[in-house]
Amino acid sequence: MPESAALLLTRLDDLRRAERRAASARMVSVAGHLAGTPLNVIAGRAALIRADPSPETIEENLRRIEEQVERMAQRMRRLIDYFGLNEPLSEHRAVGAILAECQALYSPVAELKGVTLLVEPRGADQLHIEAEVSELILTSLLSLAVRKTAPGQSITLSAAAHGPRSVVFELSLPVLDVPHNFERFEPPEHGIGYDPCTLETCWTCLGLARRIGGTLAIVKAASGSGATLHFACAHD
Amino acid sequence: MLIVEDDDDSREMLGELVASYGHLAVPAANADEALAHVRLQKPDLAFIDLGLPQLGGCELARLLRLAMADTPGLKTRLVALTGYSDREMRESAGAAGFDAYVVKPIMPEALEALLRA
Repeated sequence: MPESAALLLTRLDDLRRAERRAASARMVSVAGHLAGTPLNVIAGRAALIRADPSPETIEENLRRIEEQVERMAQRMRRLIDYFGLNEPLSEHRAVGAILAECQALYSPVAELKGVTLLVEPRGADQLHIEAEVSELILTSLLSLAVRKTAPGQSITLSAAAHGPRSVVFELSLPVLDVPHNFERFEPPEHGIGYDPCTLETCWTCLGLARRIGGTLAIVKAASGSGATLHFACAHD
Repeated sequence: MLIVEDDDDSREMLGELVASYGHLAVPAANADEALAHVRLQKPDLAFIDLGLPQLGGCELARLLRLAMADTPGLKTRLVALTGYSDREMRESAGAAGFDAYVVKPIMPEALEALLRA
């Protein structure tokens, strides 16, 4: 594979990341705007109670505060609905075909870098899953994996049936600098010191997984610095 | 003090809060009402929501600057009120002639400081 093809894949990944950042920024901005006006009224009404704590003022302003809380809750629900599961899902494809496509796309890039990419269907290849979002997740995670893995090392992508209705994709990396609780930082980690690009990819993939009712989890290796990313979703 | 805000609850609350600090609050729900009030009342300060319907807050600020240039004694400080904190929006507000830019929710202490300034 010519180097220009590897460069093209890298640039596509950069563009995808830029798009994710722009979408996140826009969403945060809209959420701020939607919450700003009701919060403004709540803060102001609280100040009016403090200025005149008579029973009538308290009663009237509390009523107005409750209205704004309900208004904000409605807006948040609408926002959640918008970013939720109301979007029609794309066609379903066989896990084997999805894995083969991922391998065809990333093996040449991995090879150029001296990284071995192993793909193992593990008997799940005939199961059908939602294709569009699942492929986005897998290609994003593979981009991250190839980027983070040093020459001479290997990464493994596998898929196996889990229970009667689920497929679990496992992507094992020799090195992954991300906390297992990446979704919700808790003390003492708070996410400080981790690679922002890695975190951003994990958050995006988690959000995408949720859109199709799936999950994304990180299991750190018992020893060493490796980890396995688990993407689970339903099959037909 | 002129309060230009299309959201009824927010406009009403700001009016009451401004009044509780001892100022006369003049409410306006859109740019047309605001322009009429400015010419008549000559307010010291105008809080303007950037997301006004039809004529937006930035357009209103430009018109108010033109009115101030043409009207002796009309000198109103313009404060932009918005839920957006983007740099782009701040720059647009500055270019439109706003003196200050406040991201909602505006805390009462900040409002009081603006009224005192």
